[in-house]
Amino acid sequence: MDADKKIETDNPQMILVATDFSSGSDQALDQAIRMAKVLGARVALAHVIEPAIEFPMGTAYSDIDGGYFASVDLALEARAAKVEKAGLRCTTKILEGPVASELTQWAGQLGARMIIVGTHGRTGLSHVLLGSVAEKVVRHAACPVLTVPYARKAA
Amino acid sequence: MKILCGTNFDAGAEAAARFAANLAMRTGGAVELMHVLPPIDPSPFVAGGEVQARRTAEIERDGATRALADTSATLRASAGVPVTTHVEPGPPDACLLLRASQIDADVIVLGMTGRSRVERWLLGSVAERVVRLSERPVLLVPPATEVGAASHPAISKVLVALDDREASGGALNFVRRLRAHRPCDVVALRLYWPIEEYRRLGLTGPRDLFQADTEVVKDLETSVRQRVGTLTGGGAFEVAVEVSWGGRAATIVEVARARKCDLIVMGAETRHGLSRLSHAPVSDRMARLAPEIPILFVPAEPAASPKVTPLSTVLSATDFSDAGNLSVRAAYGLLAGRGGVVELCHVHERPLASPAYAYDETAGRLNDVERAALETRLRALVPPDAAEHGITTHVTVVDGGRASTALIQAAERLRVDALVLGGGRHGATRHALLGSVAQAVTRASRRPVMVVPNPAEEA
Repeated sequence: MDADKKIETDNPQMILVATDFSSGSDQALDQAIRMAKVLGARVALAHVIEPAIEFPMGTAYSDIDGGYFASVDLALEARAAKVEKAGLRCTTKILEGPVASELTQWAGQLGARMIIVGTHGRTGLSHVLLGSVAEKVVRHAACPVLTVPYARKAA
Repeated sequence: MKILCGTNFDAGAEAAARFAANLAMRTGGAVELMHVLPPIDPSPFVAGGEVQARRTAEIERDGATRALADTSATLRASAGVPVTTHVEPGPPDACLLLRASQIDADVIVLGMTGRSRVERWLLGSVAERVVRLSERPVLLVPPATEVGAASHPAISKVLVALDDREASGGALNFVRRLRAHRPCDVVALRLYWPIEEYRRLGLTGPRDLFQADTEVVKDLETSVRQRVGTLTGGGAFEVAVEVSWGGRAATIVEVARARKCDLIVMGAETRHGLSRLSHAPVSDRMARLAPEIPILFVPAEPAASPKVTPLSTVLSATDFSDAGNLSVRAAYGLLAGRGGVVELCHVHERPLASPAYAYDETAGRLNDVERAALETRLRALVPPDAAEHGITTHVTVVDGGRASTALIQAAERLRVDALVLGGGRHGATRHALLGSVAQAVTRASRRPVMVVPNPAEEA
């Protein structure tokens, strides 16, 4: 039996989930909790704030005031509590920068074995205009990426 | 079950009241009979018009109260269920809906009027408006409904029309409740549009557009059975899958008649405004089509959060490249330790006829030898210790079509929980030039997709 063909059973120690607090990304989180339970992994939960313009003396955020960070903290904590209620360990982080590269970078730092992201399922024009974060993550990531489509319909 | 029955003392209303009583008897509930009085405006041309109007209203109210008392006495005697009465002046549809929420009715029962098309267009129909506006199930009873003797259950076979939208979930739940009280047979009907299903499942070759296709029927029946799950209570359960080319109402009624159902349950239409003109409500048409079968419209229930399915069946696809084969190993790694099924898949890309469901394209088709060779190559990728991990492998070679669409279609056919593909990770230029199967699948798939990067390829 040749060794390199065997199934790698080393479990992913860490699963990274990205959330933008939409119901689509909450579905991705549910999937992540399920996977983490089965695989015995920890969950890392990230929200990325994309800065609008970088100035030499600092960063400007689009439609963001001081309260925004607090509300992000709260929303992130609520989701972390959900993960911990499922009996899993969870770390959270707010990242700043371009979403896809920030996520994949942090995944690299953590040594995450899998990234889970939700997709909105934009097609056609809105896809061309708005692009897809999930797609960019897939392209940048060095680890497997699981995309969970937003289930608007019952399959 | 608390039942509110609106009556205007005509033939349809009488049938409705009898049906309501029967339903109450069946479910151990109570009936409230309600009549809505027309508001009477005092005439401005007659001296003392207001006094007269008040008197007319009183007389009408007395008459209605007496008529209601008669009807309720008959119902109490024949069905043996508690019957209360209520009289109120005002606009009928609004009063009915308000009263329903006051007494927290589980269902509103109304008789169908025998109005002609022109009359309905001019006057509208109370029943139709109630169906449209109600947040509670509404049961329309046509005048010709035969309700047997009081002790005889009027509902012995129910047809529930399902579609893939959440809206029909409410209908299903109502049937569950109905059956929990007393056994009845249930027929779940799923209508489908052939072209949509042929595309979704990627079925090729000349296919019949008007007769039910066995493969589609098999797939849809499985999904209906999964959706219904287990029905508690006694009685048979069967699934009917039929082709429909738009005349949904007619097909539903036809099937209900053919199977001798005595109640049709379906999701309520929620169209408003302009779209109601282009898609006339089914309720309207059903009333004309089925003058003997009562129809229950159940509004959509607030969507429960969608279930997260554990990944136990995954489709793993490879084009036999390094990246593809690596992703196969990742698929097995995903299921290692808890077992599952890997649907190992390879797409033999070749152009298909357009549309694929209408013509058979033979150019470049795999012969048996080539197919067997590909299957052998796929089997060679199965890790030797897969069985030890409790993983079963099924091998599929898809002949024809573009890889991305063929894979999504295969995922639908094989009903997998997720797809695992190799790819991802290449620079913007290569990406723009080549695109990628993984990207196309990620974008279009209704199921989760795992993309496994190839470490050999640098970003």
